[in-house]
Amino acid sequence: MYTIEETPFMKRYRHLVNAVKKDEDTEKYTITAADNPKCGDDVLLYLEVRDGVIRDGRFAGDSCAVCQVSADALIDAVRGKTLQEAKEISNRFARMFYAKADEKDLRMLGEAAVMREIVGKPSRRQCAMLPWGALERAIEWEKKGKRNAEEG
Amino acid sequence: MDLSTGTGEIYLDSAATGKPSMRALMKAIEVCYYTWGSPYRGLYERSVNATAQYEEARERVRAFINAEDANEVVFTSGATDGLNKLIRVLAEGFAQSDRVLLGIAEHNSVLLPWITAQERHGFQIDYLPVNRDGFYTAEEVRKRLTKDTKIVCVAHAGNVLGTVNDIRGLAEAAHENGTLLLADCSQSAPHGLMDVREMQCDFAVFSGHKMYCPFGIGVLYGRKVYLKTLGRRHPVVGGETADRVRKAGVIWADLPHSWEAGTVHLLGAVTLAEAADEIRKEQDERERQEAYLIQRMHRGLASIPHVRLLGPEDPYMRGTLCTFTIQGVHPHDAGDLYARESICVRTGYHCAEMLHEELGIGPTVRASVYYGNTEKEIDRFLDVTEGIRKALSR
Repeated sequence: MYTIEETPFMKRYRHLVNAVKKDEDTEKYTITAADNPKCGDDVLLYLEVRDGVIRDGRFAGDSCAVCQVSADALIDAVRGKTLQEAKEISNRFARMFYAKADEKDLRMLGEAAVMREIVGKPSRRQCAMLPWGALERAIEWEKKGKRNAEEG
Repeated sequence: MDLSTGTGEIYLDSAATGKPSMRALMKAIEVCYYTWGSPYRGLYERSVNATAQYEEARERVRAFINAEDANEVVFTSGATDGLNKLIRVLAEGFAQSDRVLLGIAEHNSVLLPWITAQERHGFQIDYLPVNRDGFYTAEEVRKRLTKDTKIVCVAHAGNVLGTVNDIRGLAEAAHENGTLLLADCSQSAPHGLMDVREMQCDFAVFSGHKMYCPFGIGVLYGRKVYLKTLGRRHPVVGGETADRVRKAGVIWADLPHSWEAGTVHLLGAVTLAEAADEIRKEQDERERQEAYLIQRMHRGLASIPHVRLLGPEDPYMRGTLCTFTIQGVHPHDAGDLYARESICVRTGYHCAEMLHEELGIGPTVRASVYYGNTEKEIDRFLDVTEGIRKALSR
């Protein structure tokens, strides 16, 4: 019987810690969305931002494992960070996918470094990057002082 | 046919493209190295010989699809190329009130040329649904034909549903109404199922790369009278499409040159002829083996909990592919895990997004079999599918 190797990525997929259903109470969150109509992935990012710091976050969505683990790890990686720091982490995440991340990048990525397993698969880059697009949008909206920027 | 690559890879994506046969490749080397030449152009032996090889290939492909006349065989770069050329010139003759009946399960290569032609010429497109098992039926065609319907376009074998449609029945329904029928045979020709006289279709297309050939060759078939008339609308122009070019005017060439501009694809044509002969030679054994493998795959998948097969429930009604979803598993994740085990399957919409929309489902996984796949490979694929389901299904 074929069994799948238990990698950190697979472990995380089986035990997502920041996933919620879409109808979760979202009053306190800034919400951004991102989707990829080509594969049907869509993700909603809920970030609780106070005084320029991401205090907490959740995500919801119908998407593939790569997108879900990426979103789950994203929340852990940016929890407690300022918007500026979150932006920096996002940049380093992109560096991991589009270039070569160094040790410092991986350290800064924290939990999000679990996505290293996917880096060698260009076809999955979009899946992994999707929640980070929603994060970038949330950061922009927060900087502009807006909330609930739920749009594609 | 030996599908093995010597790497332990299990190739279950023949519906997308196939491994060229040694026979076709040896012929390609022979043409590239020894018998190359400029067909139709020169008076020297090499050129005359090239012309003869090219026309002999046309005749052998004619025999493969059982057309009446070799001039009904137009070499193209593939099915998509043939469809683009044909649909463009067909649509030029359509009035705004004319209608086209398109199968809902068609490949984008059929749908998109019609959609763009509609934008240009303004005719109407109607869609033909499939029945519960994934087949087009003559009854449904009759129901949807109007006095203005000029053509019905359907796949002989579906690239998602794994069904082989009764083209003859559909063509008879269309012809009763004075409507033409175009059959996309991209998924049936590689299995030796294409017989245009039996099918009674007016036009058909297929690609060589799915049937033992290198990339870049395909065929557009059309009844002679239609190809001749449509050829006057210049589907392509260039070298060989005119007999005389003077300031005073052009005298255009007749079939088959009116559809083949520029130096023709001699290499493609001769490899296609070799492949066609090879497929015919293997036909009985191929049919037996492919049927056994697909039924084994179908039954195996159907027995795995949370696997939903598209198309017919009866394994005997299935062509050569199974498309399915695993509840709670995104096909791209599944595709990655299959790839990790060196199993090549297709994931996504398979260029038939409209069908997926119609069925109300997202992307799917498709596994296709071909002569040369083995029982062991199918069993390994089923084992991995079960493992993926257990690991990822929520």
